[in-house]
Amino acid sequence: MNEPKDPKKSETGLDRFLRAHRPGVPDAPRGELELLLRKINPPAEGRNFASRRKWIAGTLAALAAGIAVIVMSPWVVRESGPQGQVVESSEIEAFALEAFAEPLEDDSETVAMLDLDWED
Amino acid sequence: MTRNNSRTTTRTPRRLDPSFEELEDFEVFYRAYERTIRATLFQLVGREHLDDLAQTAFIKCWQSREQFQGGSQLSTWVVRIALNVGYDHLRATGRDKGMVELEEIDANPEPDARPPEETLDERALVEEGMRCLDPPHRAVIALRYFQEFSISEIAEATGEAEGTVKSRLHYAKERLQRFFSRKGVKL
Repeated sequence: MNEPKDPKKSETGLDRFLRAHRPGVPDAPRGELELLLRKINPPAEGRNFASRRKWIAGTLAALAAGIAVIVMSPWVVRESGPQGQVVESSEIEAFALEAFAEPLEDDSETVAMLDLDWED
Repeated sequence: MTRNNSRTTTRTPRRLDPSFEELEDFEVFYRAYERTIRATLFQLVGREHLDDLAQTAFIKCWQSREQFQGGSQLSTWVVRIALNVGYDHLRATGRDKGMVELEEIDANPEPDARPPEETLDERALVEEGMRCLDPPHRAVIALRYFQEFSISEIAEATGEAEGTVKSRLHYAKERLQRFFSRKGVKL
């Protein structure tokens, strides 16, 4: 830019010929700009994918937190039942209440045995 | 001599002052340098693969725009990337050293015997003459005469010293002069 572009004095016939007949440059294919925008901004898809990943991660985290709360909650304590099966405390409680409510079987025999012992 | 029927543009590529606002928006960048990049690559490698190479150059420019420090003109920086894309392509296709020998070109001992339409197609003749130069010489002629770069701008774009640019120009012009003379063009 600093020097004169077209110093007429020193310009030769070849200089003039080359400048006058510069080769025509083929035009860009139609839609090249859009194509390039898609290439340099894969973002449109990338961003969706990134946000989808964030969404999935967030959902999983929330789910894990929910499960942890449910599992650790004090009113759902798991214990082993009589046959080794897992029962919840509410079931144990129900079982115990039922057991105490039932009258003792063979009550008369027991009393009779006790009476016998007393007679001896 | 045949003329390619595809649409071509002969206007000088648009060149902007380095305000660098082109680097903020790809569309602005594309519109500012589309002609420059295409012209540089076309004059260096020809029509074949021009579209792919131009797109590669655009993507490279855009991806490395943060490396542009403003120490040079944006136009010479863009041309440098385009030239490198062109050189890489020529190297990959084994055309980096090949140039048409002047002796292989059909001489036309009787200039006036050429048909009128052929004498009119000087542009195609210039294109043919460019193929007689090796890539670095082709590049300096293209930048100097087709894109109106100054010697210092060519030096900046090619990464060579100004002395080297001048000597390449001298050699290239000498060769072109011989080519045109063989073709019967009076200059």
